[in-house]
Amino acid sequence: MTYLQSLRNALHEAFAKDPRVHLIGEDVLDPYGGAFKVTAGLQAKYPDRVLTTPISEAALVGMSTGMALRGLLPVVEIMFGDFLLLGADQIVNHATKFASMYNGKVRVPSVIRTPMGAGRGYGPTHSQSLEKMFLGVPNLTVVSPTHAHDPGALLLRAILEDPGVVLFIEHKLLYPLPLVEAGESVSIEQVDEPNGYPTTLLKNYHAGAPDVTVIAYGGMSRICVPVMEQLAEDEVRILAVFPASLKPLPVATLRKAAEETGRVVIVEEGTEGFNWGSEAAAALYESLWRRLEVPIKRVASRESILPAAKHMEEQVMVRADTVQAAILEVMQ
Amino acid sequence: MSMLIRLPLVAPNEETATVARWRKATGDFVHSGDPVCEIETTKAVIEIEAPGDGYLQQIAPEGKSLRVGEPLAALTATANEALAPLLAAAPVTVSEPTRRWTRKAEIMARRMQVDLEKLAAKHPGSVIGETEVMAVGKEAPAETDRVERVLVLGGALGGSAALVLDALARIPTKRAVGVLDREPATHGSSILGIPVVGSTSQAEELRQKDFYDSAVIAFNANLHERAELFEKLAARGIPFTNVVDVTADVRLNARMGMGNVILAFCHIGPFALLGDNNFLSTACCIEHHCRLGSHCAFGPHVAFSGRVTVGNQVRFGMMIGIEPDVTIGHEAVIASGSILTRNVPDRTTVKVHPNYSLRSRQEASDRAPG
Repeated sequence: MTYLQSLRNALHEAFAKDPRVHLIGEDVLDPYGGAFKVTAGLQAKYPDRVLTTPISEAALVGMSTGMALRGLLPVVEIMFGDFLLLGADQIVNHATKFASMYNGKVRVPSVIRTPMGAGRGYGPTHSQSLEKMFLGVPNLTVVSPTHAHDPGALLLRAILEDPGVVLFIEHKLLYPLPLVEAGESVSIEQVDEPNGYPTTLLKNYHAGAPDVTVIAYGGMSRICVPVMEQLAEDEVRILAVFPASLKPLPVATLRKAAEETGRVVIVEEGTEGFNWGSEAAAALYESLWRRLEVPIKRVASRESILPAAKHMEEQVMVRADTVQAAILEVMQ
Repeated sequence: MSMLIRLPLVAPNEETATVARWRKATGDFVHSGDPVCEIETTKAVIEIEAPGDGYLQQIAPEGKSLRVGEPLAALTATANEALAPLLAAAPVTVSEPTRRWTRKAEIMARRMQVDLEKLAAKHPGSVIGETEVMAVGKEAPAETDRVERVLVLGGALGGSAALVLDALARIPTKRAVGVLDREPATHGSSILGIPVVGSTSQAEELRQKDFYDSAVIAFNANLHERAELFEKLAARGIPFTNVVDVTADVRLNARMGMGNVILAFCHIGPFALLGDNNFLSTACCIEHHCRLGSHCAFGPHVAFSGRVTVGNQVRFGMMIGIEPDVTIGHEAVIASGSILTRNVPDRTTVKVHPNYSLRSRQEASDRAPG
């Protein structure tokens, strides 16, 4: 089962379970099935509930908000996460505000799905990880599964059970990857969180105490898991914490995992500074002050545009060697 | 020159393309720039042009789907040239250095001030782990303070044994106990106070007699012989040691195998990777993320920029500069004074033009001033 198949199956399951579920987006009709093929087969099966739209993300999110207000459960596909900014006004000033502005008399249960991430040479405006720009929006839940989660289960919960607006961040490079299974090299544990989006804990050891806690989300699992497997051969025991819910932050789980080692590395693909890692680090400093062995190490992409040339893009992005170096650095 | 035509990357989102139509048949002579075939992606049909002159030999039939980088066809110098050697030519791969300890062992050893070199010499052939390091930490310090006895192989006549002995003299944890050299005339003499005790063929016997703890090869006139001797003795369980001059600087996360000689003022940058049995003369710079194979020899002042890759048994003269990302194949020879900006294939010699004159100044001074 790949990350993509899991998401696609979840869409089919949501459509089958609840006739209120609708999907709107650009190029989502069959046979094309969306730029990344997540919606493939959906329109053929539910022709009235999959709507393709002109190129206007503001209209897309606005329509979705209206549909949600009138009792439907809309799912919006934004073709590339970079285009989310065109719908930002609808998210920030409308969808997430209505429930409070109308004194709780209305709800906007909607999901905005979009792929983020670099690594395919798509250039500066189709490769970014812009979720950090939406982390400070009140009443917005931001969810991003790694390939060590069950991404479909998270999407199902967002569509069918979440009463508010969910920004659901997928990662382009995770789509073709098979989901991580517990085995010889890593063990997996799921921790339930109050908002229903579980955190995954991964361990690359079977006995003894961990040396380093690595906190990451979304596409960074594709880098962290191989690094963990490789460092297992070097007896470096890593406890990885992958929250699915970026906001709200599952602070209790993060704190517990960080306390086990006192040595923390936070990894994210977005640009360095003023990001998710800043917030996670601040939360950990507040509760673990003086119980940390070394300062928290944050790894992120360089503050730069993403070049289209792959060898230059690589220089900007978080890579396995930068993550590995950070892990070894906090152990010194 | 014969070459392969490989499937190019047409669009970043397409890792495959289909051969739509061949425009030239196998056996046709084509000129550089001639369209030889058409390939089709989901978005467009692209013409592939011949990258040079030669006889075309189709490899992928029409309708076949290929991944980017797979061979489409070959251009050969003669009509019936065999393709096997072209297809078999693999890129240079550098073998990982022999692992002597885990990273965790390295980190714990640093924290506990345990000398890993010594510990590894006590356990030849096995990878030192966290457990072994922790065990040393509990032992009495006298046990681990023993000085490693080093045997130097070859180089008695050429002078390289003296270089290695000179470096060893300053390393507090190692002590040279003898030199072996295949030249009988040197037997019984001494170099810097260390006796030449016999021929290199006696290395195993002396190890059985516990005359030394580890060995290092000094000679580097013949790299093939250097490699052969190392492989032979290592296979028979002789432990090799790295002789790193006290003025050399090995930076964070640089790693090396065994039997390397690194002389004064060398710089081994962070994340650099060295194989086994290399000989680096004075003031060489192996910059960050370089990957050096095994059994290579360097004259003084060879400077690598970052991410240079070098195969096995490569010889460098002196005062050489290598630009970033350059790859040098196995058994290449790089002449003194070379500045390399491009890759060097296997078994290739790179020359420079010394004393090249630009123009005669005589002519210029004949001209009237002003």
